[in-house]
Amino acid sequence: MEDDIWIATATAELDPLGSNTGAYNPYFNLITDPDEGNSAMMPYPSFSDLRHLGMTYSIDGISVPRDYFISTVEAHFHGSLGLALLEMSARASRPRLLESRVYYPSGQLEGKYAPADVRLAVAMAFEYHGTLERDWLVTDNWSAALNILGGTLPIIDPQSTGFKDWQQTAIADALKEAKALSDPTKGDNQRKCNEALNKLTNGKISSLNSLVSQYIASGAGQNISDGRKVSAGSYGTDSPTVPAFVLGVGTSNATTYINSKFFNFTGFGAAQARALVLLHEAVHQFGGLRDVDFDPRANKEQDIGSRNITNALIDNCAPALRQTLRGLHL
Amino acid sequence: MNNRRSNSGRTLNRTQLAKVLIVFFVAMNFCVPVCGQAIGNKQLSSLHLPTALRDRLIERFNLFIECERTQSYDKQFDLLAKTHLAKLLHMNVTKENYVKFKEESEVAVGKLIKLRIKKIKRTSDSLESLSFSVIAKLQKGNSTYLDKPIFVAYLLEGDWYFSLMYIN
Repeated sequence: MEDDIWIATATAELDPLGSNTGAYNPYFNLITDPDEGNSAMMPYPSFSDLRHLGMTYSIDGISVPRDYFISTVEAHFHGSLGLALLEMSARASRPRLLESRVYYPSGQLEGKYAPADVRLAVAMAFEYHGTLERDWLVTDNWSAALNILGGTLPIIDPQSTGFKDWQQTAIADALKEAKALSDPTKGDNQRKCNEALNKLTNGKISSLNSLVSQYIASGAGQNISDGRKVSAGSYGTDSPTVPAFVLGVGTSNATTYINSKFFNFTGFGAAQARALVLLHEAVHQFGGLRDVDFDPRANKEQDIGSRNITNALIDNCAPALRQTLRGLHL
Repeated sequence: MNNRRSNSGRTLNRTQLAKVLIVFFVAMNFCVPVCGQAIGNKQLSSLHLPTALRDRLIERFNLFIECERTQSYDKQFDLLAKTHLAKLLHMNVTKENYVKFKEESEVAVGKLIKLRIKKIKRTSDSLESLSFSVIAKLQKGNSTYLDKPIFVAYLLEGDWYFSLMYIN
């Protein structure tokens, strides 16, 4: 059993040698946000806020929209003062490096480095021409804030925590969108999308709609993971370049896993981007084909095959998403 | 004359040595097709495993991979980390189900030719679970390709159990 971890973090910057250049704003205020109401025009949950630049929100290590974070905190503190104190604490406390991660140019994780090894992480990122990510914890102990307000941390077994309600809604919406995008009865564009991989597979994947329609997001026969964390190496829950992946391809036990990146698409086209991710994974899950099957070259590579699938989906289903899906591994 | 004979003899010896080396390397390739799978001391040294556990890990790892390579899935089942597989794929892991799962998987994935270990690290502070960073060379149809599957080892009741899973 472990405590549920809520973290409001502010980002900070390092110089090339790993020294903290400091980026936090010491000036904070307790002005609460205007009531946004529950109108149908309310924007899709965002993971940051222009009024709170540099501030991100996570619960149990999963990025959550600010709205969700606020509602969860308010439910525990019976008011908006709890959030204000948490954010104040996040801004005012000294940034602490938690971990550095180096990714190859392909997006796959090279390794994780402890705070003491930050110089090694920088060197590895240079060597591989990769990407260096650093996790900063700005507020590492705000239990004082909880005590002041008389709140208690809910105790939840991490193994039993699945997707939150808003995540389940996002998956259901993405499935609906994926089916609509590829529904051949809806028009020429949808027919084109439905047959996006027909030529590439010599007819093996003649209908994407029939594949994605087999997804069951919850209940009996569920074939999308319920959001419990699993150990999946560099493809795991928090991979920044892998929105989803499939285990057990070609078997009746195949399961699609949804990562936090899937929920991080924001703004215009977010729902379509998620839909395209599901269309891609449906090819593995129900079509029984691996990424490598889509690389026609003699020396096949998973990455090339994966990109070929994604490009075909973008070209035929949603050309506007090319930039949104660039650099991702589906 | 003596010098010339001597030089000639030395040249002959070098040629013979080269031939012996070529034969040796060819024999190595044919006789030990999965030699790349061996765990090196360097990879294990950072884990600080007791000698008995380390030896047992090497022995059972080699057996697990050999079963994978020869498609002896019923034999491999005895070395399988069943809970890991059950958790990832929500399946009831019986020997019959496992063999069926592996046979289905083989059609999609291909056959393992070679497995190279890059790194082994603990996934917790205890000795109980290890994560292997591996590169698998697989044959599917007429072509071969490289893949990076999930490979984990668990220490359960004093012995090692493994799970190998391909990701897309």
